[in-house]
Amino acid sequence: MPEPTHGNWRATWHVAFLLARRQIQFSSIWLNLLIMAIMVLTFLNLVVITGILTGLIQGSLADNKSYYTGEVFISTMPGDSILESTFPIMATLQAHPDVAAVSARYVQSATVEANYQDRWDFTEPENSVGIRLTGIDPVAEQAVTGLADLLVEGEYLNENESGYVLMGAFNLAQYTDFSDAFDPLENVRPGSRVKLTFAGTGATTNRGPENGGSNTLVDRGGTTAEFIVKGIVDSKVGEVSSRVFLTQDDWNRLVNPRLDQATEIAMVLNTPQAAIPLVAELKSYGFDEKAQVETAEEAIPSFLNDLVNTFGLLGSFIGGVAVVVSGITVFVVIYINALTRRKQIGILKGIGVEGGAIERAYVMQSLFYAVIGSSIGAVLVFGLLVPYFAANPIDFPFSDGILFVTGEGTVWRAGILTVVTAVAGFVPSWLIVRQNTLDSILGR
Amino acid sequence: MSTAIETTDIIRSFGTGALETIVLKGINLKIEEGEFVALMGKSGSGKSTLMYQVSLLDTPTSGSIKLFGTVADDMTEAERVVFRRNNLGYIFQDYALVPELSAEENVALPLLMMGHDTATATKIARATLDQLGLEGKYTNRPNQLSGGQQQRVSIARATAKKPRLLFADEPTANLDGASSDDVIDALRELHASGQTIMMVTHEYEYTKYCERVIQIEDGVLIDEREPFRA
Repeated sequence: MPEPTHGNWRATWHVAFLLARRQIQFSSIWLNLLIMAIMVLTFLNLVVITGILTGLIQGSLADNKSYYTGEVFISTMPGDSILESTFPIMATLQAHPDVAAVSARYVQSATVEANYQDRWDFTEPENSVGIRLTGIDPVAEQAVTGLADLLVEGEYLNENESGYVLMGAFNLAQYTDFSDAFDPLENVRPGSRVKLTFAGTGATTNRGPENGGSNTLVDRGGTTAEFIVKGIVDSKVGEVSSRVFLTQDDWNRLVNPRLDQATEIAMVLNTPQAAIPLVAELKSYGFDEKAQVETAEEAIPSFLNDLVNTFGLLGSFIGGVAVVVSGITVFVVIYINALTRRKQIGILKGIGVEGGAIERAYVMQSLFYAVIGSSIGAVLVFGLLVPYFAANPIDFPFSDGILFVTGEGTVWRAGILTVVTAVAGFVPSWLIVRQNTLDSILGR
Repeated sequence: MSTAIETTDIIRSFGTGALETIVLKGINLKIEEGEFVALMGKSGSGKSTLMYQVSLLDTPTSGSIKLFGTVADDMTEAERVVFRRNNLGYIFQDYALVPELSAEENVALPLLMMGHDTATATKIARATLDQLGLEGKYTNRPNQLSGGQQQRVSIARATAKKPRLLFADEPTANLDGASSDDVIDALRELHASGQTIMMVTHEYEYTKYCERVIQIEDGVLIDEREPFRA
């Protein structure tokens, strides 16, 4: 009667576990520590490098959401300069129970000039920069983005005052990191006078058709007005720090009197989870026909999206290299281990221990190192490194870099490391086990 | 009584062409169940090679091997492993114990592989160690035992599963006189209980408990010799 070619799986695992346990237990403590240290470092390489690269972007995305788009962002269609449905959109949002605060912004390109009082020689270049002039309701904007919290000098705009602006710090020499790219404004502080030149309509009494005005606007072809810098706002969000803000009333008085022609609308919600349903709801009203209605994540600037993809690729590449190096290391260690036990493996086969049990014993050893290494690594990451980087973010020009690590991502990476390690443990043992039993026993 | 080992024209050669070395030159051997047979020969005569063939650790170049009526010629390596586990026991010259396992774990290993649970395997292992005078050495690892004790653990490992055929490859080669006597006594007791044993040795005096002494010379079986009688 033919005998079964394999023992039962339980016996195979039982023997494999016994062999693995004893080999780990009685192998050199230094060898065990070395392998586990390699696994910990590989895990950190996998998680931390990718986490920092991602964290740079995540910090930027979080800032973008907090200080610019809010949780839902409505902006003009490409090529358009105004939101034609400003009033209906605003009316809908202001009455919506999920919307905690909403701010309409009126944006136009402009130039701002400083130090013109001292510019006696008109052949010398003027000290001016191109900016995005933004009219805001100071109270609404504060409720949505906390713009006043970004003040580094001076005071916030008062809705009842006129003739003041908030300067974005990117435009000022003492703050900007980009002075190589353009000539920023020199010596501008709160109280400094600056000249704004913009394509204004000058129709100060025209409040738009919805407010009983007329559609007839007079294009004066450019208006220059002098303002006093009331404060300086600084943020790593370029859309905030490169702008110059003035009150909505000044905007209406000098630039465009029509309240129904906002450029962008930002809002915060009572619960962040309401963003996607709200966007869907606004689209169902047809607001997306002439405007981009997006969640903060969808409204990410394209360069940030490119950075996310690039850094993601970079992180994956570095992580991939780390996994390969780790796999090779484990392979070499297990191969040497199995090679030095070749005779023993032959004898085990000789006395009837199946090759599968021997291979599984080596795989279990590898898994042990991978699990211990990943566990220690996870404790270091979540217990030490994440809190450290949260308290001491990396100062990058466009964001405060944090260590961005998710539980799901960590489990995935630990899983990848474990699988690679298991394969790296299996292959060498398989190579040794498949050798002729007698050759192994006799060492030939 | 049935035939334990039956070989027909076993040839084992190594290398090819001009480098070919024929170690076994057509061996015809028959050992009955219950026999204690010694295989003797000078160094290089082919005695160990013959034992490797009949114990299914190696595959002959040609010829046929039948163990307890089962033809082993076409067995795969996996089938050989299972056959060895279920039917054959091995005592190696250098004990060949797993250094990380205790004495009782070494003995229990084949039993676990056969499907016994840990408690049963341990119980059988301890009983076998007791029979070989190793009470109290259950948890000792090989490096905590003398050479003679290690060889007795090796015997326990080979016999705990009650194999139908026991192979002993120069079991006394690395032992002093007293330990060698202990090992031979242990084999005698096993044989007395009905165990079939094939022992390779080059020390004639240790054939004293054997029933037959098969002699091999230059890869060919020559006339059998009377076992050693003091």
